[in-house]
Order: sequence, then structure tokens, then C-alpha cells
Amino acid sequence: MSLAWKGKGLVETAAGALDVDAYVTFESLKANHAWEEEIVKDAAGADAAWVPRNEHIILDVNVKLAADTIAHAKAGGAFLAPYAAVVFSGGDLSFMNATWQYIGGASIDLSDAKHGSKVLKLRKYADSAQNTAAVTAAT
Amino acid sequence: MDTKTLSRKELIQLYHDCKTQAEKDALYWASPELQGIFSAGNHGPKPADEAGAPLAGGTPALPGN
Repeated sequence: MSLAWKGKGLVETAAGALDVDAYVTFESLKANHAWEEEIVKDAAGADAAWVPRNEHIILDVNVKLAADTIAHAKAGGAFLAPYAAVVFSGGDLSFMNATWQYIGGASIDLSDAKHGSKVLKLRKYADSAQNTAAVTAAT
Repeated sequence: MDTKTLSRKELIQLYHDCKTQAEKDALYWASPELQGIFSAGNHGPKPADEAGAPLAGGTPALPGN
């Protein structure tokens, strides 16, 4: 059931879908902004130039291994290939709806008397040409 | 026989809907695209090629000279 509220507008859901994991249930999303920094000092040793290279966003996607059937729930419990392209759609924030690069660091957690879960770590470069290259197979 | 090239979405759907792990393994090793999406670690060993596969535990023989 959708929830309607009054007053200020909110962003409060971890809505979204991954083309590679069609049967998982989203639980939470965390996006972090990052770049590689080069700082050049002046003659006195003080920071004088700041160069941001490879600006990108890292998106942690936390999902439950919960689906319409047990088989589909199990289908979500698999790892991706290194640097696989992952298409994210349906997110509340538009920057999320893009093709991301899987960068490893995924984990699958199973325990007694608790639903299984998975964490995926994805990267998207700020430069669109760079991001396209990052998700396109070499020829 | 009609043939159709599956889209990425259709291929992933077909993969997820495999009834058994053996079916999933066979589809995976037959599809380079799936191999670029899912880890080989989720699957059984890659089947040996029909022709030119090295014998188990040995080195493939080179043509004589």
C-alpha cells in the first residue's frame, strides 16, 4: 500500500530495480561521492592547487533475497562478473537511473531464522564517455 | 527454423528462470554475454570444448614435425 503524507515532501524509499537481479527486494541504498585528489603545494609548502581526477559515485545497494518464489529468491543469491554492467532503474533520485559498473566487494549473508541479504557495490563516473567505456566490453 | 536474438533483458530473464542449476550452467557457458554479467564462481566447471580439448591431466599433443 502506498503511503501518502501531508506537509513537507520527502524522499524516503529505497526504490529501484537492477536488470541483473530482477527478483531481489530493495532494502536500502547509499551513495558516496568520490574522486582521486592531487594537491600541489607552493614554494612555502602550503596547498596551492587541487586537482580532482576520476570523479565518480559509489552506490551501495542492499537487497533482501526475497521474491515471489523460493527459486527466484535463490536466483538473487549470485555474484556478478568483475566490472559487469548493471542497469539501475526506478530510483527516486535521477542520477541513480543509469548504467553502473560492478566493482566487486559484494557480499551475500545467510543466517538461521532471518532472510538472506546481499550487498552490491557499483560505480558511475561523472564523465559520461568514461562511464560508457567502463561498462563496454573491450573488442 | 526461426531464430531470434535475445535482448540483454530477455537473456537475463531466461537465465534466472532456469529450472535447475545444470540448465543454468549450460546456458551460462554457451553465452559469452552471460559470462560478462555473472561470475563463473556461481557455476560448475566450464565444459571442455568438443574438439581440441586437452586430455585431463595432460598437455595437448602438438602436430608432429
